[in-house]
Amino acid sequence: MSNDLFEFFCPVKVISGLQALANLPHEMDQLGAHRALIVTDKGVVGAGLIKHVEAAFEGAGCEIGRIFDETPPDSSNVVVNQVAALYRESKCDCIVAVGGGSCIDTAKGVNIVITEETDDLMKFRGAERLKKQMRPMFVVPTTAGTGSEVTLVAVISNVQAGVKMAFTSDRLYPNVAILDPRMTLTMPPKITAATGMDALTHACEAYYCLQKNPISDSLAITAIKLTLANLATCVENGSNERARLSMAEASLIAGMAFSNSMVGIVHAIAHATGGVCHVPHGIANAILLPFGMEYNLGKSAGVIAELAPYFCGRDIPGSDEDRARAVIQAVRDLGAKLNKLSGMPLRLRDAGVPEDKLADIAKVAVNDGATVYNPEEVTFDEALGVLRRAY
Amino acid sequence: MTRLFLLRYSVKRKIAEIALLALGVTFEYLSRSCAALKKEIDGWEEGRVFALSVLPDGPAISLKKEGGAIRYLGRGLKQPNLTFYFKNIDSALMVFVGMMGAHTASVQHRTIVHGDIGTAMEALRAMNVVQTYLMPGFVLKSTFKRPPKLSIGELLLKAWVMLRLVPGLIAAASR
Ligand SMILES: NC(=O)c1ccc[n+]([C@@H]2O[C@H](COP(=O)([O-])OP(=O)(O)OC[C@H]3O[C@@H](n4cnc5c(N)ncnc54)[C@H](O)[C@@H]3O)[C@@H](O)[C@H]2O)c1
Ligand SMILES: [Fe+2]
Repeated sequence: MSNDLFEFFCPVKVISGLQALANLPHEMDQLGAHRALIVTDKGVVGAGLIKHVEAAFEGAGCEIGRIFDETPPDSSNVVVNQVAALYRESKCDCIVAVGGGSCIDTAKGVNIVITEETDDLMKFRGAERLKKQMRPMFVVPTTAGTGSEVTLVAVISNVQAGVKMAFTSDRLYPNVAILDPRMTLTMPPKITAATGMDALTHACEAYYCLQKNPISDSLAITAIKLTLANLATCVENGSNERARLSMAEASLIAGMAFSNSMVGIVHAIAHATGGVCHVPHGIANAILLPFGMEYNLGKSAGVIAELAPYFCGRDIPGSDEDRARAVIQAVRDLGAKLNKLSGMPLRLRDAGVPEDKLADIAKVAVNDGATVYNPEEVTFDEALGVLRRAY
Repeated sequence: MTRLFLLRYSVKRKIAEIALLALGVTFEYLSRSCAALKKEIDGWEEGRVFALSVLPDGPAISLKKEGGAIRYLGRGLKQPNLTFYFKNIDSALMVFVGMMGAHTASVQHRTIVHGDIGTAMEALRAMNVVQTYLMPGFVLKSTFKRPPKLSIGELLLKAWVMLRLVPGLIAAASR
């Protein structure tokens, strides 16, 4: 028995493959929606990706009501309220997020505001507070990392209060996730590498953290296999559609895993590093993953060792700790390769983190909810120790 | 232990009420006498109210940071900024009788938090300190990720907490 009680939920319809985007209007129609608000950002528009979305609507019975393309890197209550006003003004009846985690989280926030008829998201912070049926939501990811298209989480900062608001609810799952290989082809190598390492971190933490369960385990392993087989190829040769689609699938599957098993110290410190020093989420994870795994060796060497056949290509002899260390070395080797290919940093000092901020980061990290799910206890001193080692 | 679940709801509810009361009065007492707890609550803003409750309709208690310490506000939800809910009485009992740690209850989806997660983490750490004084060592060993090691002074304080628990409960029952 893996655990005394576990839950698993993922009500998202997944459509993945060649020209998958062409199905979007049909999926809208299935849910009774006909006028979409598109939530995207300037980078996605600049990469020419909205053209594919517009093309999908040609000749379809559905239409685009409005396109909002000013999503900032970290969504805020101000932006969410602004987009919700556009939704109402344009008489839209569903939301389509086209972008990375920033656009997807913003779209989730907009859906809360519209459904709950509120402009005060603070009231809904925490777990399982959203009870109303949300508006239909469709996601077309353009990065392969966050898995937010299949997760129950949204993180939105509150500008006035200066805090990050976290929402988790079964209602926050989008209805449909569409993976189309065209949508990630334009991602620059460094963003490809960093977001891919976010996916790998989701899969690894899902596998060894405390809420793991047999279903999330199998998803995590599949995501690890797909990531190891395709991430470096995507970074090296961005136009390889097959590898791009496989990475999009890896990211989605890792998202399904961690949405049900949560993450641990790596994400706790990565969230804090993002909050304090604005290091992109994927980069922070890429740097911290091997150090976070090492930190958990005492409690979880056996579980991490189970990943050796996937990371090392074969099971290797030795104790649990030896095999777990080989896994961690394989994570480091992948990081080194991605660093060579794309310049993705491997140390906090190379990611623009000033050394005198490490204590501030550790202070925020111990208050991150992910520490609950980490096998080993995380104190301020120990979080600081991990940060120093990763510096 | 699993016989506990065979008890009638009204009995389970009573046990949960007493356990919550014990937590409330001990929290209040230790917030003035225990250095580790004082350190934990030092950074909390004055007036912060947090509550523990069992769904769907209690029992519940509320606690408030006031004058640098914690005040037990009594039963029920007194406009808390943060509430920990147990999804049902059985899950609450598992934690209250020491079958399961608070973090395991979260991991197993037995509890949910309404409010800010950072504030919840601070409250959880503080409650762990309080549990250290309420639960016997062998329970702490099986329910904590890292069982605390108490100094002689802390062990004496724990003995004192135990001694004054019953009179404390009686006095607080009317609040
Ligand atoms: N809700 C969740 O489950 C969850 C999980 C993990 C992370 N997140 C959140 O997601 C955010 C990070 O998301 P992200 O890593 O996907 O990055 P992102 O959405 O911030 O995008 C990064 C940059 O890449 C550009 N970009 C995206 N796709 C592109 C493409 N195909 N071609 C060219 N440029 C492209 C964007 O314009 C942007 O400038 C963070 O705010 C994080 O907190 C949410
Ligand atoms: Fe992540």
